[in-house]
Amino acid sequence: MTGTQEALVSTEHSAIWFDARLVSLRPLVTLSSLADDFTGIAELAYALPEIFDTQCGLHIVSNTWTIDKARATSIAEQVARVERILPGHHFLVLASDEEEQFHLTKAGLWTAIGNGSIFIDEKICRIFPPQIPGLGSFDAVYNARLMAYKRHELATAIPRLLLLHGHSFGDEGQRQREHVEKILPNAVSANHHLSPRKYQQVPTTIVPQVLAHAKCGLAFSKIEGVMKASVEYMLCGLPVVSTQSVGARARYYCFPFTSICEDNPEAVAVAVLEVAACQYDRTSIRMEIARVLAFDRHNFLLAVNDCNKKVTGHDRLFGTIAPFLGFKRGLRLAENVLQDLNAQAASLKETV
Amino acid sequence: MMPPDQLAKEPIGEHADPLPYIWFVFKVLRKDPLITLSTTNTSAVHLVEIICRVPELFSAREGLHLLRPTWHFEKTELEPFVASLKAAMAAVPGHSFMYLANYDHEANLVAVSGMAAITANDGLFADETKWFPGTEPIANFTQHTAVYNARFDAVKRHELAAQIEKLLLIYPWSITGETSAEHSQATVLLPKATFANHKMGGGIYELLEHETVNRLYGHANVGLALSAEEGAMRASTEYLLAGLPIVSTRSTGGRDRYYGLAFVRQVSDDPEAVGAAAIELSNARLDRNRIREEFLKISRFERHNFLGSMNRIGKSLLGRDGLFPDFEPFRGSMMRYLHLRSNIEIARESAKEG
Repeated sequence: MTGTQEALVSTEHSAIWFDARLVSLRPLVTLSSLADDFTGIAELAYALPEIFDTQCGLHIVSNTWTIDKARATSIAEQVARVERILPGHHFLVLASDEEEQFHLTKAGLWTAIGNGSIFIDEKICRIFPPQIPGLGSFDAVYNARLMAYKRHELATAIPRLLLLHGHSFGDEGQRQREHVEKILPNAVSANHHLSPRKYQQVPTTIVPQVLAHAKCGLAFSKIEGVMKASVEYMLCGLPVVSTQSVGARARYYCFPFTSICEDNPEAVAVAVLEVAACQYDRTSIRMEIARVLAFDRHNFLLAVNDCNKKVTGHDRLFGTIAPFLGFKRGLRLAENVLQDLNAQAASLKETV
Repeated sequence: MMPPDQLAKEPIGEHADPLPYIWFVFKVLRKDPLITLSTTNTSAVHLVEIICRVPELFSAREGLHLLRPTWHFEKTELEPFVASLKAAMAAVPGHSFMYLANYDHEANLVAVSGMAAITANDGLFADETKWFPGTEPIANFTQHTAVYNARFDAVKRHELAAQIEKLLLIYPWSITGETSAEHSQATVLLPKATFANHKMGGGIYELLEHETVNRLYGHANVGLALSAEEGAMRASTEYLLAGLPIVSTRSTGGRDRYYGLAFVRQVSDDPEAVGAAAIELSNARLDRNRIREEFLKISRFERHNFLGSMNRIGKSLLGRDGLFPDFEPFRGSMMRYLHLRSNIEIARESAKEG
């Protein structure tokens, strides 16, 4: 690690979890996530001058939590800070839906509709037959961290429930794990089934195989980000039962196989039974969601190319979604992001 | 409220209409709270002409005014537009304004004015009950390789259709008032084409109703969109709803929002490329109902998100839940371009209603 890299990872921001990637080296185009409205682009530029030492660049940033008026203002302040440090560099802040676009444009930011779900790799997220030995079949699956805002208590009336959960953060994670075990004593944890001795995150490539064992997917938070698991359910052929929410997961709830129910366990259980009774064709569900994702991707690329042309002068830089696929599959520490960016730069140099 | 004499235009000549010669869309989407939809050009917010002449409609403390473009903003110096917007805002203090852009980057360009903007392409407002395949053929009209519905104007680049043997042309009134002269020029440029408006009028220009235009779409296998720049091009959406595949050139203005679909070809700016793509798609004999259905699926997705966002934004601005339970107030609202005089009458009638 170089001295400047050490400077970055030793700052107060080194402990934040985020994702960043180079989607183009020259012209410079980056894609990174916001962590608590913090954009680490200036810090990355300080740590990696060989990548960022160019007169202009476009930095696309994606949110992990819903954007309201206050957050849009806060993000605008962050962007102004970095644009002062890196003159000639511009930001494009992705909105998960038109409401976020409203707040972001009102705050004076360049924005494009880029719901995080468009970055899900449909080649990984696909339909499998149920094939994990001993796992059985379930009325519903809930793929969500064991955090209070995920409201697992709304699943208590579902007879056969499958849980998938990513890493929980901090003390709340431990408390919430105990709480969920208490309120959902009969639920099966896919994590435990696949790794009985020690908690392990289920690999992205295995998640679709787990989902195959359930009849529908669940989404219960009242407020969060886009909840990519929701679109992953559909790409894997599952209908979705959700409560009303803020955060733009409802962007893709325009289908007969997406059911929005009230915030109580009984309503959830009824909705789960109803969608199961419809026996939706899994391939059809996948095709329907793939169609609108393709539409959103098409327009995301148009918007990115428009902005990039203004900033770097390069016309139609991106012809496909491929450079963006898989973004934010997992959030990482600053140190790991730095290493990855260096590797990507080396790879892109070779490509050039 | 800004006094009308600050906004009224001087009459041109003794018999000139004292009102400015402005054609635009104006619609009261709902009265309480007041929400309007109107079009602007790149230098003027036409709504101000209504506000100053029908102040009684705008007397409530709060309101929301949705503005839509008729041309892209990529090359626009925004100062005149911003001045016009400020005049409108000053005329109705406490009211909010929001722009409905045809594409994401257009929203960014307009937002420089200080007004929030969201993407809501012209295509989502198209009335699917007016444009559809399977209509009864029109007597004496044969089948054509392609149709181009565009007024005779240099920006529409009719010359790019020169290699299409069986070409059907539909053309609204000229905005310069020179329809006859422009038609004559076009007959020289495209001597083999069928000029639908003149053919339907027995040799005299006839303005066609949408029912006839829709039936004419049935006489073509492909729709053309050949301008390099304009607004969203309503005919492009009409083609899709009528089940026609599209051949387009690259363009600025937002019509390409729907050009990720499999039955659209974007080709270079030359007549051979346009002609070859038109022949290819024409020969493919694609299922019109399937093209329409594919577009409608996207349209439903767009409307779902537009309505959801409109209701949430409306709540944050006006404090009212569920302002628009369905899309009905918006459907087809971009079809009615009227003279300022007619729009003033509409506003007055609306103000009288309870």
